[in-house]
Amino acid sequence: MDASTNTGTAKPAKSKGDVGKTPLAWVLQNVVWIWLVALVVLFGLFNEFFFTVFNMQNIMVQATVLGMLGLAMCLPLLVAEIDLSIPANMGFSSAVGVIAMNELGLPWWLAAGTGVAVATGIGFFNGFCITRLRMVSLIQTLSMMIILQGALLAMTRGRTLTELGDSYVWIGQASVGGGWPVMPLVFVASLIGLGIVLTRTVFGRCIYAVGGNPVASNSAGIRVEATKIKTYTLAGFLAGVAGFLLASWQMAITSNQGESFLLYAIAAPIIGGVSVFGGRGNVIGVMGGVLLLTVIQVGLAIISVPSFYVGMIGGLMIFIAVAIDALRVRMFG
Amino acid sequence: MTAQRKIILETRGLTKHYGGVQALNDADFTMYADEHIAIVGDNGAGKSTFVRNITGVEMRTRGEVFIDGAPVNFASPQEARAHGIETVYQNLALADHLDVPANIFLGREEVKFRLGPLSWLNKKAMNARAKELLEETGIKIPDLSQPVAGMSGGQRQCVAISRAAGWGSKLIIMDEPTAALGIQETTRVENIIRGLKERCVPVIIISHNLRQVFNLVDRIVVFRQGRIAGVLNVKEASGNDVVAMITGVDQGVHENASYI
Repeated sequence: MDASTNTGTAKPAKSKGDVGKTPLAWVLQNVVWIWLVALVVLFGLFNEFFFTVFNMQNIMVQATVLGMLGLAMCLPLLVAEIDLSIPANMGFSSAVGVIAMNELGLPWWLAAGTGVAVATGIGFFNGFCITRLRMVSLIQTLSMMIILQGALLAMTRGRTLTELGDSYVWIGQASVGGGWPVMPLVFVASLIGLGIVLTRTVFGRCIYAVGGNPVASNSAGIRVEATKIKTYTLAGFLAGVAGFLLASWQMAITSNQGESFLLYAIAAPIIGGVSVFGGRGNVIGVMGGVLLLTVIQVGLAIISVPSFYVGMIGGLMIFIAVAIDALRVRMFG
Repeated sequence: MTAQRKIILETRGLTKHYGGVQALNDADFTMYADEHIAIVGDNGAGKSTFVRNITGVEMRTRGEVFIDGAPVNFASPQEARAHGIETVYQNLALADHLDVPANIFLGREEVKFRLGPLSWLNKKAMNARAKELLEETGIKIPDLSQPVAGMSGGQRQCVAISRAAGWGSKLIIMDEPTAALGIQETTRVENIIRGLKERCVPVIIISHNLRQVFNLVDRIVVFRQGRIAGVLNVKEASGNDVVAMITGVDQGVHENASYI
């Protein structure tokens, strides 16, 4: 029970709703955008190349795959679970699609579709294990991550798949009007689509309710387990699309495809205000987190920070994000 | 009891076993549509089990439940709600990060068009209806669009009760509605319950607070060790009678004991 229970409604000035309008609250709630603007200015001052059109295009492309993963990752977080296997699922499923294309002679669209279908199935399976078999999501998806990483290595036998075909890689390479890439449109479309699902539909309402209070949701007649399974399935689908985009952009599938994305995929939604305790967050915040992390990565490269430090700084960013999230929850519920 | 009074809820031989534990044994219970009833009893006496087996949260081991004279067998709380039986829980009822209208319509959202899970929410209609509903029950909440996480316990409980009352329900069951509230907020919730009496909505209250029980209801059902130990009319019984029945000991309770 919160502290305001005993003071009652006689002192509304002490309720959390009013505290939420103070400047500090505003800063904490919008910290990702403030941070983003500050870093863009900072990197721009260090190196004027940062503000060039070419670099903006580069950031957009770089942000696309991470953005898809961030959207996928925010879904389990919203229902107060987690899915560590999302980046591994991305790598594995795209390899399945491409190997099916090369071995079975499938057309590119069927190969891409197969990959996405496999990813969706893995998402469903994760959801099934966590709800029906009552497995702990952290451990279940950790083991799934290791399985999928191992399976990718076994399938590729350590080699890099490069024969993807021109049609398959089109989406990752195409550009219009002076080098503006097409691929980020997929992210923008997914962002808008998921945003609509979360805020305008019954399913979205169920996701927030289940994450906020599963017991209350159950007694209100919401099927908590079914909602979680659907959420994981949708996350798997988005991971599959991310896998197709990454393979098509890199024009290759390495034997450890996607592994490096894990921490950033978790960090992006959390930096963007998605609560690890479930029930709170939105897709605009995820986009903010994705852009922030991408700007940091690109910016650190541009101002010539030795690559040895990039990982450490990335980890530090995640730490700060989680600390701010905890602070916000503590102060504003 | 006259024969003309309408029976809203009846249970016959309602029994629930958890493995070897007999949580509820042969509960025979009749409730009329024009009364408020309190369920009292010690911890583990079977009060909550009784309610959970009526509202479909759990499946009973055996026995029968009748609503309006018709036998029912709810497989889920949602089915019970569809039959007009609403339950208000102590402090589990609301989804913290959703606003007041979203909570009132939780699990039965109004939609503009149906498309499975992608059914389109009709937020405008829900906001308007929620506002009406809170006015009807006399609850004042300044800003309905705030997440309920920021509200006081009393406000939250008022939202939960008006949600239950707002669906033309046949019967409202409240599980310790004021246990977590301060004095002022308890008074407010009790006034809302009295308002339900005036509107002839039958209510079952599970409570530990005997003073509250005597003030609010017509009859008291006492549970002890998984059985209904007795039913008392508040006009004829004293606090001592209730305590004696709860404990099974017929003496040694001082007239001015603080818990009466």
